[in-house]
Amino acid sequence: MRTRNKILLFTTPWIVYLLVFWFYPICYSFYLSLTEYHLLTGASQFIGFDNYSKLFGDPVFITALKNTFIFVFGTIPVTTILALVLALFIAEKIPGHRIFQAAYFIPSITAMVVVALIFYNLYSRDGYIFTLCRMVGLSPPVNGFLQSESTALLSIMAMDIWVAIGYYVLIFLAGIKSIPVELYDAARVDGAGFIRRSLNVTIPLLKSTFAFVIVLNTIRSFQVFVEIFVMTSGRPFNSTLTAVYFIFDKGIARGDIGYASAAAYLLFMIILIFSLIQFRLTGVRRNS
Amino acid sequence: MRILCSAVLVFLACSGGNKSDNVIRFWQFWSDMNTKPVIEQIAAEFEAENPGVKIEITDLTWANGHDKLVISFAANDPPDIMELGSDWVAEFSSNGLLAELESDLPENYLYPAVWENKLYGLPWLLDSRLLYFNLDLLEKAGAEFPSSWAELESACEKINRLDADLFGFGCNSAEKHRLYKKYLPFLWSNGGRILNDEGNESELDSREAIEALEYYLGLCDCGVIESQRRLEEYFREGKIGFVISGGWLLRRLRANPPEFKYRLATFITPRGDTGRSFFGGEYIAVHSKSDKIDLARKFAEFLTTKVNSQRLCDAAGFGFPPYLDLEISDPQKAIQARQLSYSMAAPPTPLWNDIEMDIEDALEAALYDHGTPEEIFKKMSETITEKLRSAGHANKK
Repeated sequence: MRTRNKILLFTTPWIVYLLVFWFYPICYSFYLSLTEYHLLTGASQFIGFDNYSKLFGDPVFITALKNTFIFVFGTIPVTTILALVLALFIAEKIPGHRIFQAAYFIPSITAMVVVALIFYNLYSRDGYIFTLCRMVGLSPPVNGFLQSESTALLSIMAMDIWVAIGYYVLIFLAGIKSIPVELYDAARVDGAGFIRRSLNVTIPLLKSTFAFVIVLNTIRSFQVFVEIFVMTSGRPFNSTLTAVYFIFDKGIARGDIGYASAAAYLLFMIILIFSLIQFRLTGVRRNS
Repeated sequence: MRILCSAVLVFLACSGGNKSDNVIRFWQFWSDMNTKPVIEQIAAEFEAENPGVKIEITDLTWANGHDKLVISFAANDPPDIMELGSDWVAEFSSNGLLAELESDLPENYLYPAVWENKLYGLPWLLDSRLLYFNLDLLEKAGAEFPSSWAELESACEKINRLDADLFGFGCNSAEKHRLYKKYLPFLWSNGGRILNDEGNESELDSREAIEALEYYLGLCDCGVIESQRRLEEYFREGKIGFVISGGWLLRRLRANPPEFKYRLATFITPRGDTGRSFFGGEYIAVHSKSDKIDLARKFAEFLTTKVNSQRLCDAAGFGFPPYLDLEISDPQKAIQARQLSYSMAAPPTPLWNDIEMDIEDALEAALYDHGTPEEIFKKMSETITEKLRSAGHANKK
């Protein structure tokens, strides 16, 4: 077999997969976003950009976007900083560091549905967190954390930080391991302690890792769905409604696929813009 | 290139799916260890009576079963036969997706499955919602067993004042497909309606509807807001004075008897007569374009015979077969049967799924104080009427 045929043979499955399951749905959903499409019967009517203009005037979509931004900007700094601090400690090879490393990673490999169900119980009126708050003299929301508009989203964000942190610890650890040991040796010779070494050697050299973690975390946070689906369905009163749950609700539960596709494209544009801004701000270029 | 083409052909040959001539795909909601074996047994008996036929059962959940069915129709790959909630039939039948069926069962049992005078679903198991009272809490609070709306609210307040961890009423949080079923009994018991006779206008802005909402909110004020599952847990733990639930709660209470005395009761009107409740039921429907439509119809009739419906109800521990000549000796079951006979179904309109979500959104807004009950329901009512009119649908019985 000629080399050209071999290349074709081995790449075809992936190319077919990419075209059928990625490229075609992406293109088709853009077409759908320009139509009024009835999911149950498949009847559709071309309406141009009406779905997009309707979205900008939809208070529920605006609320969903607002909640998504709160989720993104509320979780990313906390997750990133905590993950970095934990990675720095683990990299110091403190006693039992491997156990810590595994322990932090366990929530990340546990199915989100399972984690969400456990936290649903923890946050309820007779859950441990509620009881603990009352024991220390705090006044938790009377019907539990997830039934209150002021605490529901914050509670899900706290859970999400706990879940995500282990994964980013691992990425930071990989970044730290790639820093040449000689730099640390030189810093030690100059009398730098743990904090000085971290601030002057480790963190500056983790620039590209930071960018990677932040972009990855941003994309993941913008797409938050499972937690919302399992724990609150966007309630109470849309206080936990996020953009992806809005898309699911409009598209699948209410059968308005055209409108949901338009919302999905807007979300895609937002994520794209944020990712480009982040790469620019963190100074990471394609060749670095 | 020849190798490539061969590989593609082999792949296509292997991916023919399971749409063979003798396989009937059946999607249903009974997946627990009590009911699933009974469903499988009934399917096996049908297979034995019809040699060569194979029933392929797929389990759905109430949380996302509707969405999966919608997606299967959208993907042009629905099951041949499916179990539907009573208020879903019109949505599918009005779009020509269900096959016409025949039955000589009582008209009120068939009502939710009728569209333009044709029947599209066979009732399989019927159930209703009713009230479960904790008699010990009533006694502790010094309240009589309520016989009117005013007494019910007063009992609720008294129980709620007993202790910070005791609640008068179990109020549902905004759960899909559940919250509206808790409000509707109060609406109907107060003489209100969801839609007018023509089915093209909402009547949820009526005085009766708003009064019922205000009353429901009053009960919630002296209760706890939680999901249905947790409310039932609280009730079984003796923390709630009264809760609204279906026959499954009685099964659980009997399986693990609580330490307190409880009593089932029908809904009441404001003055104390027997009130209306939500008519819930499981219906069996057949896909109109199934290539095994005759076999699927035959299996639908087999599933819903009196004997097989009774077997399902026995295994589930609740519900009634859709037959009038049932002998009910159990007093608590008799209360359930009485409530069922006083129950009403949601109007069979193709827009019901949308209307249901609008009602639940409005109830949630009222529950979380985002306006007065009157403002919220008037706005919701206008939205529903607009949708009905723009869709040009009427409630065709």
